[in-house]
Amino acid sequence: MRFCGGAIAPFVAGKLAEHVSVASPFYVATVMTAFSVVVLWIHRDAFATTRTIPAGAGDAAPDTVPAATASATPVAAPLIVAVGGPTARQVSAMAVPLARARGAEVHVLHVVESDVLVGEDAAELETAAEARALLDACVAELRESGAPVTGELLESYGTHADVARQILRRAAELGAGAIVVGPDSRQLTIAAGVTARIASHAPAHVIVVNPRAGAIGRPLAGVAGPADPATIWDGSNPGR
Amino acid sequence: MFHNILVAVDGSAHADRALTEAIDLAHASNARLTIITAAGEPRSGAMIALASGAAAALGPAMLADAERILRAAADRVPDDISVTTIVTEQPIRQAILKRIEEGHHDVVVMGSRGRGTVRSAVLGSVSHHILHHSPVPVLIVHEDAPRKALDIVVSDH
Repeated sequence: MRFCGGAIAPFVAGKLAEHVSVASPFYVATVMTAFSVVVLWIHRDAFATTRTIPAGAGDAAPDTVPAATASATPVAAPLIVAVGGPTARQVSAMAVPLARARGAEVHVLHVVESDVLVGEDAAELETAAEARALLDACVAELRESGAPVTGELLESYGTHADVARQILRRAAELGAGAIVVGPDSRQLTIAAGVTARIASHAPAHVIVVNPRAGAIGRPLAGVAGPADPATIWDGSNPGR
Repeated sequence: MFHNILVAVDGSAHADRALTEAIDLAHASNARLTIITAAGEPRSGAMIALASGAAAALGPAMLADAERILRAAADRVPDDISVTTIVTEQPIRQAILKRIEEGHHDVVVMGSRGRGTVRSAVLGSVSHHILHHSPVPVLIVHEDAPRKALDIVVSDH
């Protein structure tokens, strides 16, 4: 397709410039580019490939409810905690009281990004070992709640947006009761970040916890900031 | 689990669902409820004016509109829940963040979508801003979520 276009473009451009106007090839090019963007957008799913890596046998709690039964047992809707980036552990810590209050299964998801489109970025991406370590740390953090905790690594390919898609897909499969996420780790101005996408498209309610917001300049009275994030939930608040 | 809930409303169906969940939560945890709305949309450009249609109205009309929305919201709250209502003429984002701090709220409840045809297609820009800047947990309520938020955030076990 692309090479056919490349083959006829010089000829068509010349004809257009000759018979219509000098600027017309550029207008045609603009329209075709816009059209191609639309086509790519419509078929964007064709570019996403997915693969699930099961968590190591030693990590998974043996007594967790299989995900397939989620629709049959509404009480056991798992709490999904999606972790990633520098605040992953703090987010996990903040979810502990919530997990404790619910008592139901907690499913920790972490997405390993493989950016196949941007080769130069490859060095910055996480190794499998690092991802595993991060997930294990978060799982350990959440085990404090006493609820059964399962960790799972997902893989995404291509764009950053695929991370959100993977989490949402898995959350839907698990019949998520709620999804806990941290703040977006990257400052994105135009494209929505992972958190925003999750918050926007989730099949369940989303709880966003932001361990860094206190430090950024909005310290909340009575909350010591990231050092002790769990206190936010603990009714240390004077109100009532 | 929560003692002091802040819920933002704008008259949309999404905000209504958020309010429903907030009332449930307040009921279960014996919490105070504060309902906030802004008089007038953030005047940040023609896009928003186009999107919300009614935004062409002037100041007093906006204030009346906001008060009507707030009254309707407050009427839905049962008598046994202590409720505070706030109309702000500040941009809603700043107003909410300021209120979280000053009011010592421990959770913010918001709808997943904004008001208006264009903005309802994406995560409401206000929700988006709040979830990145709020020091307390933000509960984004999804209209199509099968379960009530109360079942997820149980107060006492």
